[in-house]
Amino acid sequence: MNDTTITIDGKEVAAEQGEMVIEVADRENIRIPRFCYHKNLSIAANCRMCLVEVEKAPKPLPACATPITDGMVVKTRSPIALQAQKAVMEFLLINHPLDCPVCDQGGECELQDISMGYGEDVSRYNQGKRSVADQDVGPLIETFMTRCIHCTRCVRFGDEISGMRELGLVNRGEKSQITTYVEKNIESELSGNIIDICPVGALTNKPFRFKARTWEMKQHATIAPHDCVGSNLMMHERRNEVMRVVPAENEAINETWIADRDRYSHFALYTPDRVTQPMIKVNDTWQTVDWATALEHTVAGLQTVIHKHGEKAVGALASQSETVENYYMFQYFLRSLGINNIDHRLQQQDFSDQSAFPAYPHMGTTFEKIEESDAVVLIGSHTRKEQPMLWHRLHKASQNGAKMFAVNPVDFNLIFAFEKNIVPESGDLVAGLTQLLEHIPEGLQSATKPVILLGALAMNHPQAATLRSLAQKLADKIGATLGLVTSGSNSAGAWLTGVVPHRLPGKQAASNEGQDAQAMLQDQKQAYVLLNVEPEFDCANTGQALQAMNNAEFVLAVNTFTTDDMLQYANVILPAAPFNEISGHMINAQGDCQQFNAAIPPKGESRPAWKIFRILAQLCQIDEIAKFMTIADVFEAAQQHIAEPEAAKWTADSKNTAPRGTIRIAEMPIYAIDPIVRRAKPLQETHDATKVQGAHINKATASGLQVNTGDAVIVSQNDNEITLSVVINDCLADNTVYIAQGLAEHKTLGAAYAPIEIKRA
Amino acid sequence: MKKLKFYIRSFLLWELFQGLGVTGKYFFKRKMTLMYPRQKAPKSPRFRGLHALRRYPNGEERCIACKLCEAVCPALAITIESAPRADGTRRTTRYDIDLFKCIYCGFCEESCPVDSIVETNIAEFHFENRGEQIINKEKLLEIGDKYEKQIAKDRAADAPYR
Amino acid sequence: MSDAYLLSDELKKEIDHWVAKFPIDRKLSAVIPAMNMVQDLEQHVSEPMMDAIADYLGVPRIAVYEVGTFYTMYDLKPRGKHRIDVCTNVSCMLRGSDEIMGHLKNRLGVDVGETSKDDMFALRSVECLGSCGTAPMMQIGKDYHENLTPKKVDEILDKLKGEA
Repeated sequence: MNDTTITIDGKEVAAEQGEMVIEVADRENIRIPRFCYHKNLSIAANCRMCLVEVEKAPKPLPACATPITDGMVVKTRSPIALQAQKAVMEFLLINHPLDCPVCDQGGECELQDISMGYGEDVSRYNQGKRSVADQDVGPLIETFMTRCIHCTRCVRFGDEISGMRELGLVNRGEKSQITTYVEKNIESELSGNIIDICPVGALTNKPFRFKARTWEMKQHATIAPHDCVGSNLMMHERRNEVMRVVPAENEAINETWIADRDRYSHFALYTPDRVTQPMIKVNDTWQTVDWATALEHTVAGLQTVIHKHGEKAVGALASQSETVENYYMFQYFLRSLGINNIDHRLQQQDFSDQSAFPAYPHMGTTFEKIEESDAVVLIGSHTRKEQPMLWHRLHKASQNGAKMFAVNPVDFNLIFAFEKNIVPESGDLVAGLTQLLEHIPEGLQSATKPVILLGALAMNHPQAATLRSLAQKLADKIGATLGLVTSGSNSAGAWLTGVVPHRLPGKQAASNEGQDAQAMLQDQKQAYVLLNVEPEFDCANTGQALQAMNNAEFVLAVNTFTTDDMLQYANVILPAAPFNEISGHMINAQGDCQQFNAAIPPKGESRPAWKIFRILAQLCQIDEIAKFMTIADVFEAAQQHIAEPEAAKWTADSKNTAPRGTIRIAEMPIYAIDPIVRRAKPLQETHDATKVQGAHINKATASGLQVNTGDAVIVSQNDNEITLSVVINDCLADNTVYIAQGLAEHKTLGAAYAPIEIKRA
Repeated sequence: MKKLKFYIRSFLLWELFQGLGVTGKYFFKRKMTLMYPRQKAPKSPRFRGLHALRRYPNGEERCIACKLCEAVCPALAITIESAPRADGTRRTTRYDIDLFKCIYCGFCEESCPVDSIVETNIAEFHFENRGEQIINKEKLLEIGDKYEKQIAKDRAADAPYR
Repeated sequence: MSDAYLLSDELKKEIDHWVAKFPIDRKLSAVIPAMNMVQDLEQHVSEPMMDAIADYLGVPRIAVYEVGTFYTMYDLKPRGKHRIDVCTNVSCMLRGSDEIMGHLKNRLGVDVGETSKDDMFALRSVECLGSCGTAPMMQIGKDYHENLTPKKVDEILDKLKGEA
């Protein structure tokens, strides 16, 4: 470690054998100009901008591809180095168009910046410039290929990070161009990152196109609210409107990347169904009212139900992506009223081992450690679409030689090759996992640092408890770390602050155990309190949830958005501010409690949800509420319950039986995962959003039904029939039908892993 | 002695005649007064008056929404919003100048890469209602269309010195 | 969706033979031999064939397109029966490749980069083919024709026409 000494610009610095000159220089804050070098990508050394003079070397060497040697003397600003850099700059500018004023990259362009330092005033080249045809690569990325300087960062990104090499450098010499060659969309769920790494304006943000300039926008650090990774974001805002989102660097969490879901979800914030005024329903018509009236109406409505039917007749559901503060005040308000039916596990179907849970479900390891593991077992996890940034770590592990194993209800395309991939019939994951447990493959047996991860498809399985105990057995046998990959950005916070029916904040068992999310909807309640939940999209059994809402006497929705159904069943809608308009804390799957501040003030009359529940508590004459005056007070109360991750021991088995017959496989697709994402227009236009529509069946099932791709079939669950078009997908096992959740057309259907009837239309 | 000299001078109204002498000198000199608004002083081609947005000879607006004028404006008088037009080109959807904020420094004209925003030699304009001082894109283009000849002439006259 | 079925079993066997020569994680190395075989077989390498090669080798399709577009020896579209590549680099130019090229253009009635109407001859100018000692030269298919004169060119073309 640090065994070598080199001299850069007269400064003696310690370095490690094998490091490149540019890495050492960056560490020492000596800025060497570069285009193709990126610290998280492989070294290509094809832009030649980082040429530096090295003593005893006959000519300038590229700093990004020159390993250090002991006693090396590097000069980055000597006449030879400068001359070389200026010459390279001149070559790069030969064909680069002078359209900075219309280029979206203008103001944040690496070429622009460096040409200020190294470019000449006038070009010596007066021949015509080269022009390259643009390509339509989908709804997220805009191309302007004439600006490309062939640094190949985007090509290497596809190769190394997104795992899908979609762009390439075709032709040669002056005709070379970056292209997909055939007309096709870029489909990776991490594709937006090529916008950031492109040093010029060749690849730019399509929905953001021409909207704002970098210097107009203010930057605010925040946290992505869609997955349990908690990627760090920079939100760019102009005149109190979010213009775009870019990644903030955090090597421990998201490195320098973010998923497209985090990058483009902010477009949902200005959709017309956003609630910005408190609304109450009087005589079946909606009225926009002031806060005082709405709150009075809410308290009166809730108290009437409690008075008439008792506290047990109220159910409360929270989304899985609220802040710690929101969760804390939510359960505080409800428990103060004596309401114990509180839950955030909207998608789960098996709660039998809930008291055996640790303080909160977590991954059992860290993102950085996952990269180092030598074997990974994924159980019920479509990681690539559920948790793109976690998938990126797994992909890195597999590139480092880790052996991958999976037990999945569908043979998902996770890009890395599986050593063993079990896709059991009828979605019977327990059978699949038992099979793996009985014949543990050699590669898993001999692994020294194995990791087992249970994804959303396992957590939401009717036999989730059995899956957990089987996974535990497997972990004990091979000495693996076992982790849960939770949905939502802050299910850890929900567990810790007691947004579960059986626990008070901080793992204390509740004396009055309430009902879980599933039971609450099964036993019709008279009133429901919703916190950013759209039951007809977000619940495990959407059809049942919708029915429960429609039959309830009083429904209070503290939501950012409304839906058509919500306008039918809700009685009061209070506008809750979304994640970018509130401050708070979120806890990710590796246990980091990350704080973030509001980027912009709440739109219209919307307020942070914790404030809404605080004032409601005040109106319900709960005396102690006076101690929660500021967000700091709320966090202080919640903070004492935030614990370090603790190891779990799962032994209980599920009471539910294995699914039999034709089973519906359902997941929350990547772009339907929460109310924000569902409304983000650019994301809804992607292939990932459209391809999950319809009823997916495999060839055998299709020939059994005598249908073909595009034919209509009638599927029925919950006594509700809908007509869908068939998609033949051989990734599915026999006796399974894949019908995604979270889509409006599928809302009347029932739960995942439940029997489904399918017949020809 | 000094006192006596002063006494005689003031008795003879010497200073009065001295003053009248200046008056008389200017009485016969060539007049400087301009009978504004009937008479007007000549203006430099570099005169910085009311703003205008220019067009290309084919009628296409020059402005490409680069927002450099907005960025350079020391008085923050310019507000621009931009979006792709139907043909895919970068255009402004809003271009407002608050003429009360504007200090007529001419930086916007200097910064414009396509010579779109210019300050014409119009110095005579007024507003009758509050809010009229904010002139929008349509008005600016209208001014540009109306005075294009003069604008072009002024730019041409100044071109050798740029 | 795999397009590998487009390759004949024989071709697959040949490709396997080449794959075996390289380390197991260097499947990309077999792209050039595979494309050579397809080019020999079909006189050009079409996009579906490039897809087929990529799918068979399990490499990204774009990686095969990159190779295909980089090398002039692969024709991505059918170009004609006899593909005449005239070297126009320095040595050949000094020894009169311009005259050869002019003669060919006249004789075939086509410009550089075009194919004659009967689909017999396609003319193209290429960079150095490494036969400077015998300049001027041209390549037809896989054969080099060296020390060219207009007369010699005529003889070669007549011979090729005669064969047809």
